[in-house]
Amino acid sequence: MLGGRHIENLGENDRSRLRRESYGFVFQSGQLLPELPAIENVALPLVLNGLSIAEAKRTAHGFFAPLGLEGLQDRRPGQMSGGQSQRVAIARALVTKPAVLFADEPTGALDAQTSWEVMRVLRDSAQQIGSALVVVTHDAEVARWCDRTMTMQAGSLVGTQVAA
Amino acid sequence: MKATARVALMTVRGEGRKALSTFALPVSAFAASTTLLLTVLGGYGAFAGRTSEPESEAYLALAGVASVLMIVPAITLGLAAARLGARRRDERLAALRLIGSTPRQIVALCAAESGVQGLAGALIGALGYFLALPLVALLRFQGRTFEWGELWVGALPLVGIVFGMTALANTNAIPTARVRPN
Repeated sequence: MLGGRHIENLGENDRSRLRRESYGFVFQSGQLLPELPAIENVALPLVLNGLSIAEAKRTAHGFFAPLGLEGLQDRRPGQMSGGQSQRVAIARALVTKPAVLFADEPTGALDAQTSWEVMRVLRDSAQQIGSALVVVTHDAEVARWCDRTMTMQAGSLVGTQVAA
Repeated sequence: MKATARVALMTVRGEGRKALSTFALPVSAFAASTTLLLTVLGGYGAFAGRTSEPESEAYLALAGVASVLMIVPAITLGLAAARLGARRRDERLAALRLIGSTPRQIVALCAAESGVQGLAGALIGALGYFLALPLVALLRFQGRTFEWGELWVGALPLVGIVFGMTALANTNAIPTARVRPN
């Protein structure tokens, strides 16, 4: 259920709209478009939502400073570090102000220090825009950032912990 | 549709000069296929028009066999070019699906890109056919060389092959656009 609506039987177009308007995704690999500069990667979901390129870029611009990406607007993914690319991916996931933000191993390709920064940015940004954050991780340090941790083993739920 | 056009514009602008090298290989392959197809058809047509020459039936039969032998690799090359272009797009299409592009938008993007590649390749290939005509006309069969008029396939077949190659580019590329978000 999302917003009082059953989502399991939605058609392909409604599922696409759901991904575009209500969900944000952050993956281990970032999944940024290598040919686009960071600002256009972030603006892309807004363009798909019908905004003009200029309007979308203006809105996307507002996500750069809070995520520590000031000055990187024109860099392409290949010209950024792993942590910077991941923050651009977070900005892209947040730009539509989604109800739920899914992060699948968001720090899997990062070192410990960068992982910590990315998780802080991810949690703080989700809190600021009021998105629920769902993180999938193998890393206990990353799991510590979450309010509720559900442990799965061999496809079965084996435990739930709520942070004090 | 506007959103799809804007995404296509962003992608082309983003690739800049690199777009030329990305396009060069599939466009060259479509061009080579088109030149080959038109030249082979022109040659077959020339033999078909020489009914009053000695052993014309034998020559026509041999030309038919040769045409089939040439057309099969030409079409295979065109199909491979379409697949090559589509493979380069897969990563981008998967990312676009992930952030909410509809299947229709993905198909439209794919059709626009592969259609441009196919059409550009076919037009260059048609030009290649015109440029090859003087060389092919030097070949001597049945005691004489070909005349340009004999090797001309005609306007309608020419247009048909150009659009056929464009359609080939699309029909072979679009099924790969049915990607699901990872």
